[in-house]
Amino acid sequence: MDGYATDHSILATRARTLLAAGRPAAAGPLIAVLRSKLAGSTELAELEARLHLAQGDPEAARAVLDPAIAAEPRAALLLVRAEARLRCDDAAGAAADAAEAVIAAPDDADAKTVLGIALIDLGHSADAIPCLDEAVAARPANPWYREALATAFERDGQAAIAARVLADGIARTPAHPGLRTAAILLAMRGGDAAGALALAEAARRDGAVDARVMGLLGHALSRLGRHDEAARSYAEAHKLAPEDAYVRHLAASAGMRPAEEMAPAAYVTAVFDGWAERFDYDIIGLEYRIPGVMRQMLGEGALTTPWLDLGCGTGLVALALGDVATGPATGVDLSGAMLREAAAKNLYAELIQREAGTFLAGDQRRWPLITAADLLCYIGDLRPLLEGVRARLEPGGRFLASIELADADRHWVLGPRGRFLHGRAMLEASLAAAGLRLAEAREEVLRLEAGQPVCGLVFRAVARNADA
Amino acid sequence: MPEALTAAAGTARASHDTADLARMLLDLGDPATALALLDAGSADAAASASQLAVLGMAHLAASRPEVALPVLRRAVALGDGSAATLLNLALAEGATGDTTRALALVTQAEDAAPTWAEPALRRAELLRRIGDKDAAAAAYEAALARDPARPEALIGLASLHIVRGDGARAQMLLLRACAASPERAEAWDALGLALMLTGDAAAAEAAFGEAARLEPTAIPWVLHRAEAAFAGGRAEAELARLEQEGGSWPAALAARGLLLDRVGRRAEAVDLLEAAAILAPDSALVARVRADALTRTLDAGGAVAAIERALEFEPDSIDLRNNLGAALVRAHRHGRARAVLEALVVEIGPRSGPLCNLANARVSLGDQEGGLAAAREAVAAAPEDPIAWRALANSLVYHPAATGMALREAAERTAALLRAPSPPALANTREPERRLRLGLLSATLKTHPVGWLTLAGFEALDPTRFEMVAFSQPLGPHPDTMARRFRALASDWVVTDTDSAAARAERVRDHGIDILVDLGGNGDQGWAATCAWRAAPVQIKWVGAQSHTSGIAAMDWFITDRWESPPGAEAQHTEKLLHMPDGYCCYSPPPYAPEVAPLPAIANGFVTFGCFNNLAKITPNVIAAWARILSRVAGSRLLLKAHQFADPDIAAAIHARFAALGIAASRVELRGASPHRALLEQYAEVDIALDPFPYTGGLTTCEALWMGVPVVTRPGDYFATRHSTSHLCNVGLEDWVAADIDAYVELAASRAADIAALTVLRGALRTRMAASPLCDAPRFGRNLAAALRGVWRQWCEENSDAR
Repeated sequence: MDGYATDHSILATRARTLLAAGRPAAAGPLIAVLRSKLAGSTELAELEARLHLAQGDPEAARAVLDPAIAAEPRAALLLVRAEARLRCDDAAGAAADAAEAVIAAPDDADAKTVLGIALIDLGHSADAIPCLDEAVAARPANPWYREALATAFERDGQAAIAARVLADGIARTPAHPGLRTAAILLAMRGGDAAGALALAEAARRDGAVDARVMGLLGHALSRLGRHDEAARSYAEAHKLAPEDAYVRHLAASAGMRPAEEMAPAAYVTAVFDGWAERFDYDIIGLEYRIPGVMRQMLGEGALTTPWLDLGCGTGLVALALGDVATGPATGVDLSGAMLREAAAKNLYAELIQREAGTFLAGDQRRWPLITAADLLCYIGDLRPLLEGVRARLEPGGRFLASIELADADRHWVLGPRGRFLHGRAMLEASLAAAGLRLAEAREEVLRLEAGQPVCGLVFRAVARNADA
Repeated sequence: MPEALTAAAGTARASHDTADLARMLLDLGDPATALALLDAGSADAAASASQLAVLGMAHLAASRPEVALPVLRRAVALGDGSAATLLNLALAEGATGDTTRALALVTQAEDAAPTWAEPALRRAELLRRIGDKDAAAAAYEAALARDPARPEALIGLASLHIVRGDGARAQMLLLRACAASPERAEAWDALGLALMLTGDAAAAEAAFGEAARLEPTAIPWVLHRAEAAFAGGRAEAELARLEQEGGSWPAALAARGLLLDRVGRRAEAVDLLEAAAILAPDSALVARVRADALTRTLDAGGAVAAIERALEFEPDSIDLRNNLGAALVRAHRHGRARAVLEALVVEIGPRSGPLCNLANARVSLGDQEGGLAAAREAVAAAPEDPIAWRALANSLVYHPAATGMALREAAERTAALLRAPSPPALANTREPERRLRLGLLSATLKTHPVGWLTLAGFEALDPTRFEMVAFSQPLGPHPDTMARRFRALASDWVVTDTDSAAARAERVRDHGIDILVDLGGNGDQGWAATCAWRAAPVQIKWVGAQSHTSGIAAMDWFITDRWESPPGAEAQHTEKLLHMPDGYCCYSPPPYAPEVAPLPAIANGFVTFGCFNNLAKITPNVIAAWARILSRVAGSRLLLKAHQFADPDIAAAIHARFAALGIAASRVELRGASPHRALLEQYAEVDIALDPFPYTGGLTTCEALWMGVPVVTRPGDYFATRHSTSHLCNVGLEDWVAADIDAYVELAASRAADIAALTVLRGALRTRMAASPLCDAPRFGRNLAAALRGVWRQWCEENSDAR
């Protein structure tokens, strides 16, 4: 028989090294052998739990850790279970474990960081700050600790301090693109496009570049109205992450590759998940008009029956129509974060996170009113969605929606801002093909963007054989 | 000790029959107890010959031949001339190193017991040990004459037949062995090896399977079974079976690793084989399988370490030593590669494989002459080996005396030796305007000159008009950004690195490829030979070891441009030339490229020339020209950067060559490799780049220009000698092209004297380049699309009557 390595300490060390190197497939067999040598030991429990985490199975990690911790609540085990709990969205449990780990090992910077992250997830940013501050003080060059601390400060309303934390981290680890991205996003969320641009350009100059940095550089340029430069940045971002749907759509919007027929769900989700918390505040400043125009188009007759709001976002249409459309509203949106904002307004009877076309195909209800404000601008070929709308309209039902206008003779084109523009003739042809007709249309300035008006059409459509 | 034996021991002691009892214990396989029973008294001066004989036997059985030896000698000296004692003494002599005496004793034992098979068997083993296979075979036959079913003799004799390649005779013997001793896993394994020799993989797999069933943790049987499964086309099935079994013992892990490697799941293979090696650190076989697997990955450093580990078990293995040389070349440790391969060639004589690798190592060290010599030796040793001719062509292309026609001849000889059969009929429909399916054939669809110079062009093709399928290496768990861009571009990614050229061509045909673009040539990782099997209706050679003609008759087109291939160049090519309207490729600069720095001569007060090309391209003529330039331009410096210069011996040799031409080492700085962005940053220290010749820079020239550094070049007469000319002219810098070496020297010196002009040029060069066709991907894409459509239409027209 061939000789086996029997020294379990060597095997454990090698397994730990392989796990740290991101090679669970190599570590797994060693851990399997260790099961017979270290059965029941906390060391084995920790290794097995880390293996499960590396394999993307936090529930299995917890199953291993629970009895081990019950027998011996060691800091190392508590910390791994905290990580597993975070991945299972159990921030409260993670915080409890991490807190115990910190008590057991007060100098463990990892434990403090995990505790801090859990507290942030629980909305206790102010409490997270001291933990993360200590972690950063213990390991000032660790970029992940700094990102977490900056997040805590920002969530606590101390954005300036967050920026300083990140700047200090960038000075220490200039090649780490993650810190750069965090700093740029912080500036963008604070409405400082010029600051974001300076940070992104510094990242590019210093070579701390990945797809996110280049994409954010493009966003900052776009916010400042420098669309041609933004297009080049999006193209560079696409070079660095060709499989990323978000970046791919930006590159297409920059004309650097052919456009797909609708914006990828990943793009829409990324945009609005990141924007949701301040969307309402921002949009007011942009003189957003679509909900108000829709209210005017709806007229004065009360609608007490259920109605459907596609691409409901934070609920601005429901808010605008609330005095007329008093029946229970169903809101549908791709972005979970936007839906959470809508839920806080208590305007909808139900909120569903789904792509609009998929919802229409799967839900059998029919509605007297379907709205779609700023939804069609994420779709190139409108016909499939319009057919879905037609199928879900009650007899006499109304469809209120908006498009951004392209030149009259164009079909659809993906614009530089990542949204589709449609020619009016194309809209009417698509409506007709779907069994709808244009009953009313108003050319409006839909909102401002970078100080410039975004022109579009707010329209009402009905079934082709219906009265206006 | 069992109770009955305890009682017997007591009785034996009482009756002084300890020797007999000890024999019984030895027969039961318990030498430790036998020794304890005999105790020290048996070895004293009063011990009898039989007692000494038993004591000696017990020590042998306890694996202590050095203790057994004097005891047995005394036994024989005291008159014990029995065959058994003589045999035991022979074993002790043999185990302690005296094979000659052992053979003599075993012969005496045979004479003493002519009907006993054991002495003949032991004689056979001793003869095998000293390498006398014929005599060993005869001895095995003698043993079998005495005991026809003796499994050790059957297996031993069969293994000699296997070594001789006579699988059929080996099988007959082993079938007898397995019938006689079905519990002997070794016999079944040997039977499997014999069946593999006669190509019966399925039966071999069954035989190995029986051995593995008997000893499931024995690494050799399990690995042999995996090899047989792969040979029989059942790799996936055997892998699934092993995964279902889920064993964590080294044999199972190694077998899974071997199969994963065979089916191209290289990263998984490496992980499991590493685990197997950790769990079985003393297994030569695991070390070998792991080394073989790593040799096929991109981890050259890991491959070197793994091969070195395997060599600890098999220090004389020619294959491993040759693979080590090749891996060292890939790991950019050329000095050691040369030493390893030269030593190997001296030891084993001229053989094609090591000589080809040696040619590569020498050229990489800037020894073009020595590389060509090694390649010529390879051809002389194996004139029918296409690999040797390929090595000749690949060495010749760097040589100062190479000509386009000589390269064509070498390429054609290489291609002719592929002996591809007549191509099959192709089923592609002849519709000139339909969407075309392009095949991208390359092991280097990643961050590599192929990526830098072709990817933007492919990305600019209209996907409604062109579909792309990649035929390449496995992507691995962490593909680089260019590999991911290629992957995003391709509708399918076909892993074909372990296929033969014929099999690869068949896969390309099965995918219905209309136009196959070879992006690997005849380089070390090149698969251009695939085209010899007519994989697609139209086959085109483009970037990727595109240094001269492929020589392959079935390679239809060669993408070029007017600067690369001026009128008259057609004669050097077996392909038709497909001239692009601008340059032959499109450069896609990296997003992380640093800004262009100010001209360093202004701050320095002297001009710095630079060359960041591979040392393989730096010939004695180049060094001589550079020395002349440095002599002409007072105070100037030369910055050379190549990974080879990290080796102090190599750096010293280069400095010595300059010193011999009167240039002090202080004026020539040599730097090793850097990460890519850091390399680009170092152009901030260079005023003028000096191109090597005959083989010029390609991607290196593009990068120098992008970093604001103009390049002085001197083109030759074949494709690889004109890359820089193409790039410079594409950017409108025709005036940086010199007609000959004297003009090259003069051009460099005169440009160095005009700091103002250099400053202006440097400041505008990136913008100029970005606006030039060299970097205009949409323009290049349109041109590429037109070229591809054009050759397709031509094929449709030429083959319109074929169906």
